[in-house]
Amino acid sequence: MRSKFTWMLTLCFVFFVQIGFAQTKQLSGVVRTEFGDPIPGASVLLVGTNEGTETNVNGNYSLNVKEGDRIRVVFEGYKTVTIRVSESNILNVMMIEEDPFALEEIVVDTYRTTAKEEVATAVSSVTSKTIEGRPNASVIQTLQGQVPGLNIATGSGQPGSSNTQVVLRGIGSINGSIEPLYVIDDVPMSSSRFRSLNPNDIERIDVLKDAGATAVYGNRGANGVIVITTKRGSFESDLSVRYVGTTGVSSIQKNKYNLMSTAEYDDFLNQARADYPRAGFRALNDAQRAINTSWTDVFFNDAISQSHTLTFSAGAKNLASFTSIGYSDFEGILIGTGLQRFNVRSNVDGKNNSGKLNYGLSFNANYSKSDMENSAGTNAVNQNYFLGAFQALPYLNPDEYLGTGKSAVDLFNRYGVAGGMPYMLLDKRRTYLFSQNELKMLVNGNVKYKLSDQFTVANHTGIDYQSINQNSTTHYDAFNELYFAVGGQEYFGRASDIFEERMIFNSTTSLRYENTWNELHKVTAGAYLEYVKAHFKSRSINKRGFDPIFWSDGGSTGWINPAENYQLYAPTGAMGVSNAGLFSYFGVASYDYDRRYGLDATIRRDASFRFANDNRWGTFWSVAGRWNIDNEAFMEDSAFNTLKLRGSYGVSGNQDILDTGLFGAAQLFQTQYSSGVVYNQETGLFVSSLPNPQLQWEEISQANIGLDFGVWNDRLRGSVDVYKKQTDELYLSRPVSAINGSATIAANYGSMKNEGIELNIAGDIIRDDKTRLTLHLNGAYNKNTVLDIPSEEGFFWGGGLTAYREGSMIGELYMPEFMGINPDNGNMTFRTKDGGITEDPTDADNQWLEKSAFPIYQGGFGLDFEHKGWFLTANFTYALDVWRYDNEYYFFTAPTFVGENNLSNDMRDYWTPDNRDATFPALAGSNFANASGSSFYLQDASYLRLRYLSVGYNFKKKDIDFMKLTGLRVYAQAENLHTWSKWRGWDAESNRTVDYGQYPTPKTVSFGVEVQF
Amino acid sequence: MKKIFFSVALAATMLTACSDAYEIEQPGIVTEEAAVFRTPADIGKGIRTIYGLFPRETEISFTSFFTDELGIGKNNSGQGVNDGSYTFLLQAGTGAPQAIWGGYYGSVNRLNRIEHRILEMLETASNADKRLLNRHLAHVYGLRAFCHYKLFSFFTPDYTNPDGLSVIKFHFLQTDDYNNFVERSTVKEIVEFIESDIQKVRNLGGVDDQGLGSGYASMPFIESIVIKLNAMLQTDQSYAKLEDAFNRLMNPPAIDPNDPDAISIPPKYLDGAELETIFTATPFDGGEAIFKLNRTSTDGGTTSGIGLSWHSARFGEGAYMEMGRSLYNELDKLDPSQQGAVYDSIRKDGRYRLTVHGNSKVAPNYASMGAEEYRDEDLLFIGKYPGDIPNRPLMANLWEFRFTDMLLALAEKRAHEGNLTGNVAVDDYSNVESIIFNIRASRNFEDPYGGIPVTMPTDFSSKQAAFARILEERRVEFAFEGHRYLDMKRLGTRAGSPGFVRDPQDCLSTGACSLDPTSHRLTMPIPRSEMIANPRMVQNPGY
Repeated sequence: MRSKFTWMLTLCFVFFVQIGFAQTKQLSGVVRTEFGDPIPGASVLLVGTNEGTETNVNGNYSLNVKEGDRIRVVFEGYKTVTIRVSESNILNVMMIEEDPFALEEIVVDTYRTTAKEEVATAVSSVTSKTIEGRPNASVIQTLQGQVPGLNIATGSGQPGSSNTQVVLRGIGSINGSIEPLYVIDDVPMSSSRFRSLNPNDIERIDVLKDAGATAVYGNRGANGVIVITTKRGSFESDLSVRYVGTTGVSSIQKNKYNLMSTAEYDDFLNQARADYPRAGFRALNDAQRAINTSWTDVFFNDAISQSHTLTFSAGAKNLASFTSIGYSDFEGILIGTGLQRFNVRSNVDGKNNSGKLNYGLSFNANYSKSDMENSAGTNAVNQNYFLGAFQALPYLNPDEYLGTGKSAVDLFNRYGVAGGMPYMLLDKRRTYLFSQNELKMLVNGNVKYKLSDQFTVANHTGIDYQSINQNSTTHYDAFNELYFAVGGQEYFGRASDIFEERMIFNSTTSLRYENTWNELHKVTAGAYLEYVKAHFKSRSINKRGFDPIFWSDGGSTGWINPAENYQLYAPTGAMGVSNAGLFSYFGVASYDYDRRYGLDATIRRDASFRFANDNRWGTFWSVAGRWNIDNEAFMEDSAFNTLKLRGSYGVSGNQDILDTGLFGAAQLFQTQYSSGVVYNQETGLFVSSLPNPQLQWEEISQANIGLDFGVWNDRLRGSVDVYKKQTDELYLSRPVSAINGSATIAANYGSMKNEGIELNIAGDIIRDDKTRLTLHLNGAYNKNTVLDIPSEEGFFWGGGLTAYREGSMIGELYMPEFMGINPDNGNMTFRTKDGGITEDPTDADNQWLEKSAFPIYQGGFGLDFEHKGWFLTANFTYALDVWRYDNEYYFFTAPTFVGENNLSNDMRDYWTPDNRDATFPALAGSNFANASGSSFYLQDASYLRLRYLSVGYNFKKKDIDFMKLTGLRVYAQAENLHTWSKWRGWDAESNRTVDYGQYPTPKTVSFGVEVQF
Repeated sequence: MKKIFFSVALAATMLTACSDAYEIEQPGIVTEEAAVFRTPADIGKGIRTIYGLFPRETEISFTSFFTDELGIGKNNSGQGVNDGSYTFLLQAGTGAPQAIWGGYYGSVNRLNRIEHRILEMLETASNADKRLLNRHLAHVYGLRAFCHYKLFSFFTPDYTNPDGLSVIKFHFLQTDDYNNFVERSTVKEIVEFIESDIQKVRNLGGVDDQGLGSGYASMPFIESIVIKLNAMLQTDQSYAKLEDAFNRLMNPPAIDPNDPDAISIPPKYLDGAELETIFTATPFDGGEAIFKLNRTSTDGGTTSGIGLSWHSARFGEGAYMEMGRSLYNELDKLDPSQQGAVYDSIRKDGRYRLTVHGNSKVAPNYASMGAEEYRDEDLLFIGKYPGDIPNRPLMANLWEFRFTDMLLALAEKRAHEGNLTGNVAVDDYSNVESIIFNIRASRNFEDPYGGIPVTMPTDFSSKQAAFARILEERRVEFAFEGHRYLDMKRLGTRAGSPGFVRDPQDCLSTGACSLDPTSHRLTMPIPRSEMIANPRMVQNPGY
């Protein structure tokens, strides 16, 4: 029973007192916090026996031991301490609060909660301390740099944007989803949309990395699993009320494009005119010379954010509850964007007196309203605000726009498309609203009944409901309405409304068995059934033509009846329905011998609605083993208090083969026909999708070997993992002959692998009663290799900047390689396929550059410092060996844009007969068309970033007693404070290979307070 | 233990009851051909789809950029320049070859499916349905011949070598055997295949537009394929076939003896004023009209259509691309009394007024202007597609076959056989000069029926001169109609043409001033997607 006893302790945080009697001496001591406060009620256990005691109100304990025994001290919220008994009869123990960078004591997945000691798989955990109070709208962005092997690249500064790419241990698929599975309180999430979730409600996040941990998720676990657990109340506890509030200011980060001022532009035009006889640019007039507009300041501002969370937690004997109410308001740095969010969460847990029946309910309702821009990354000069902010000419005056659609049309006519761009965008800002309201409800109930000492039957059932209402309105007096008006149009203004509902029902039923023999052999096993059914519905309506008398912004009032002019004013609409489902049964089993050796095995059968016949079912499995070396007798005198060797191997599957989420890519195994208006306003019938009856799961097999260690009572601690992950049956766009009626068909073909090393290490440089200084570092190296692709030549290039080939990395940049400016004529030169030099490269001359936009090395490091209640946290993240194409820079340096948009001063160094050693080609060079898409604009985007810095003070309890508070903490923090990178743009971090006109992520300075009553 | 057994029993029940989670038929998805194409009317809807697949916008846009039809517009910020379209960049990865190759083979894929389904249905159809199905079958073969003719014209390196490589002969049902790799057939094989499809059309009683107008295939459409195909082949035999087809075009037989309504009217070229109307939303649909692709007020978005290739939102405004100065100068010559003057609609040749937009601002002294001034003061807007389709400012119908095109093909035959000049008179097509005379006379805006051209070229002294005159006439007649690229390929060398030549003002910043008519780039590359996918495919020379 011994091992089961401790297992129960750590599992349930329920503390039994079980006192045993033995021989030899009596050991006594005091258990204190690191600040010297005594800890009453801590369990003091004699390792290897079932004897133990607990500390009294003063933190004192006494226990009969013999020299050489080890005692283990356990207290909730603190790190378990194991110490060897020496000659002395007194042994005082200092306990340190659990800290987010240390190894956690338990690991949670949807199906099992396991003591850290018994975990045989590669799992990283992050707790609320890291997540709470950060000025990020999305919890995922907070995880960056915290978990080795987890690469997070945020592609948009829109508050709460889901444009964040999360990749665990390298790209696992080419066309399929590469995102991990997210599970919140046992409910698998429909997507990585986190804007509606309040990060302050999250208790812990477990990142499951190797197959041993993920195979149990079978159909969706192939890219790793991120398990999010929300806060809950505990039984028999007094009401605790807590408030966390932050407020901050965000601003745009700096760039290194070296853009021209009006004076510089004028100077450049005068210089360039002689060298560039193009029908292009005009000289500035005196009025223009007097203007010097920073268009970035016109479109961006310092954005205020605030966030408030109030939580109530209380527990009676058989009932515990946790309730949280949150409100946040994040302004975006782009004027007109932002996110408002309201959350309510309530968790209730109950049990009967015998503890045999447990049940719980989580209810989570989130409502958010996002005001968004919707054209980032496009080249639409009348839609994409970032083009106006970044590219607009400095000698144009924003005040020329008079706030009417007509004035924007006039300015467009005066300055043309490129010059008129900022005015069109200012007009859009005035006349266009685009917002998304999201209601997200996660409801999850669970019930667990102990049939006997060995058997437990349980069910949890959850619903993930999400509705999105997207609303856009264009004012009747908008440039885009007036300029694009058609003949006979009398009424203007547009409104569109899209409504989408997703409901995912998820149910898991399990029977679990657990038994221990001779206090040495522990077996746990479980059999599970999982059922997922999901429904999607959408409808939309578009309407043009509103009577200005009755106009209201966003109100869609003043509809002009289509009878007036059917072609112009009739609304259009659409509706859609899709269904999806998955069904699985699976088993897990674990065996432990004396807490020294452990073996886990899982096997899972999955059926997906995406596949047919023989391919519908997939079988996934894993085995994992561990050796807790620290529990071996020969380790008793070593400095290691933790030393564990882990190994696992398994196969999991990816059914999201087209990265379309739960609903897309349905019935691709069959020929599909459609009907639609095809020609001359007549309806046609046609084949709309070619079949692939052989369609099947992507299979990812992964081997992992890891070592967890803790030395000198965990003063130095960490883990190392080595893995090899291979994806087979890769779902690729297989090129097919045009006679098939399509250029490509998606098919399972090819394989690739990711190999890597992850390191996580933390050390307490100072650890005493008053001061603690912890340094921590994590890093990951990942090498991706394409093994087999559907092409005889061993490579595939579908056009564009990247391609893949056997033996090299995915997303490898493949383009003409710039070899310098020809000093004789100022043309650009490129490497030929034979290694020579050419001014006119063809496709055949494209070069494999052995570079990609996916970092080879990435991770984070930082420090935690605490001294008498003061604390300082600094977190750096880095990504190395990342290359991206700087399309922004192209626009700032291409000759065709002279006189069209702002330019970089770098461009002054262009070739002329007198400047043969130039960076840029001759302005009138004949082959600049080749520069676009060549390595000339490739840029090293490696970066080191001070991701997070926090300074604060934790008030001592005695200092705040007079306010009737039990806790008070104030802090100041900064996100993205500084970045070191060769990348010129506003944001070195991106999830794209090519960046152009995107919403950069901001830097944020904020202040926070936590109050506990 | 009872409880355990109960749980196991419950689990077993759930296992079998849960197949609804993965056996999901999405609502409304139809996967069987027989369930889609049930009646002759359904077959008709299947055929109509094909017209929507033809990549005519791509052909016209590509041709205008890649030849000497365009110049860089006042509002250009790199459009068409940065991507190399204007600078004669043509590679296997360029979009146009992919769109043309994929568009026409995608069409044939569907046509072959429909053919297969018709043959299946014919086995059990009623007599009434059989008649309808056979009519559809003729339509299918006609469109299949058209697709192969288009592919042949763009991707065949040498039309005149019967054993040279041409395109894939696609005469079979292709559904889901993706490992079926087909090699290129020879010129001879493709020509025979097109001819056999056309023979099938005739055997089935022909194809007619069913009163729907020139937006659909008809017998003149079929004869036009024969004429244009044989013009490319350039042999005595092919030119004989060309003239036969031309005669059938002029004197059409009744196409269906059982259907007294189905009689074709001979086409005829229009006068200058009427010519303008065929580019409007509701064209005068007779005479010149043989085959066009209709574009309607519900096609595309608000700003879409062929005009978007050159203009930003409206015709005659904010142009990224304007008419090339060298083309303008050719149009300018058509009325010597106004040559060199500013824009004015009193120009007597209808083609000037049709092609040059009224908003244009012509600078007679453009050649001596500085670059900036030329850009701002010499504005040559393209007026050919006025875009008056309701709600679609840039949308226009796209002509594929016009009668004048056929007449000039006959002129190529006349040049080939040496009938360069002779009796020059209205309705006399016996020599090159007279054919051009007929066209020019009808284009005279002031006196369309008087049989008097505004002006006539004079040099018909040699075959080469005659071919040169035909090429020149085609340049002004079919500007921006997607012909110039293939015209240069077919005629350039025989006409002794220098190829595509831009005015020096139009190539100052790019250096892309001309392209020789012998360039390999006058044949399109086999698109990269096909080269990757099909191991039996051979690339065209030079790519």
